[in-house]
Amino acid sequence: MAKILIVDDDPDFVKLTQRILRTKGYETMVASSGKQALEMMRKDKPDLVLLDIMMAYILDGLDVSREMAQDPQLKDVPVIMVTSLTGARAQAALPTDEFIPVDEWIHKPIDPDQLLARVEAALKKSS
Amino acid sequence: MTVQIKGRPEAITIQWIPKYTLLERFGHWMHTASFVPLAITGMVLYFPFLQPLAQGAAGEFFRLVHRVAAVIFGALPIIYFIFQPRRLIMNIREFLPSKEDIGWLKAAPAYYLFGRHEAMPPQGRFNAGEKLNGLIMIVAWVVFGLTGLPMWFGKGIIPPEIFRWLVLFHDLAMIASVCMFLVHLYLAVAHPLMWAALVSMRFGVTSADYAAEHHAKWYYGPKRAMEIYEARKREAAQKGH
Repeated sequence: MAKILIVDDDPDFVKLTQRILRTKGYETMVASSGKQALEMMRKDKPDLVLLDIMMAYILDGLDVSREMAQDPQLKDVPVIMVTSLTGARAQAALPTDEFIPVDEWIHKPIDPDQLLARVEAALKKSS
Repeated sequence: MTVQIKGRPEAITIQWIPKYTLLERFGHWMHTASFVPLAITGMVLYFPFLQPLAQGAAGEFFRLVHRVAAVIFGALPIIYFIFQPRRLIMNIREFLPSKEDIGWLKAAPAYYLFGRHEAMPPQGRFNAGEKLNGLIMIVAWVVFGLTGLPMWFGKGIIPPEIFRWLVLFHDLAMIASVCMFLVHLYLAVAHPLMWAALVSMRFGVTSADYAAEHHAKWYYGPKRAMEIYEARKREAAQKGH
């Protein structure tokens, strides 16, 4: 079964997410900061990463995503952002900003069915 | 900062960063609502020229208001601790001094008076000014409790010399906290560079741009924030600032 790394500094959210993912038999690993997540991924590559943005600092999760995109070992691992940050959605027409690539973006609080559907879709796409 | 969803033309630009919980904002405004009557009634009891107001029925009224407001003021941090202990501990950690705080305090006058930002060292979720405000309010809260409760319930029991010391420390805490409150009020409400402070205490969020500029260590992380700060200083030096 697929191995999913949950990266979040909120222990309640981690417990809840683990419980949801285990209903479908996914194996879970947990990291509470971007630094720890990268260390874990380099030792034991996951099949998918659920990544919170704001942890040790606001852009912690985005830095992880950026570093993964630059790492030949990790660049193919799908990333789902699971965040409470709000943002404006628009066409990415003007490359005026630094773009961080992710596979999916889910808002907290999460809907279990939506999370499982997105995880399944992302895993299917990457396999 | 903008996130691109792979395979879609869509991008998400982060605009708002959560800074305070609902309970924190409620606590802040309730603390303000209790602090103002506490300060006003306290001054009536403190300043000799206001002594006529502290006599008779008016005096009784001011003492009653002071005590009711004191209970609210004293209880709020305890309520916060009961309902959000993890947040409280996180906030206390973020209130601890850092090595950049002295540099921030040195550079603050040039920033607040002339808008010169180059020399302001990167700050965490709370800048050195907010930390100073928080520290004074926390110390004042403790001193008000330790001196106010015996003054309220121990009158006639506590020896007069000790009672005088209690009054002195209560007054010193009042002077320090009122001075800090006035600075805090001016910066939050009137200072043109601090608009986001009031927004975050009303809505719980701060803009990503404001966080990047004023709380760079919190936004970018310590390493990248220092790199940006050093680059900005070099650029300012080249321009001759």
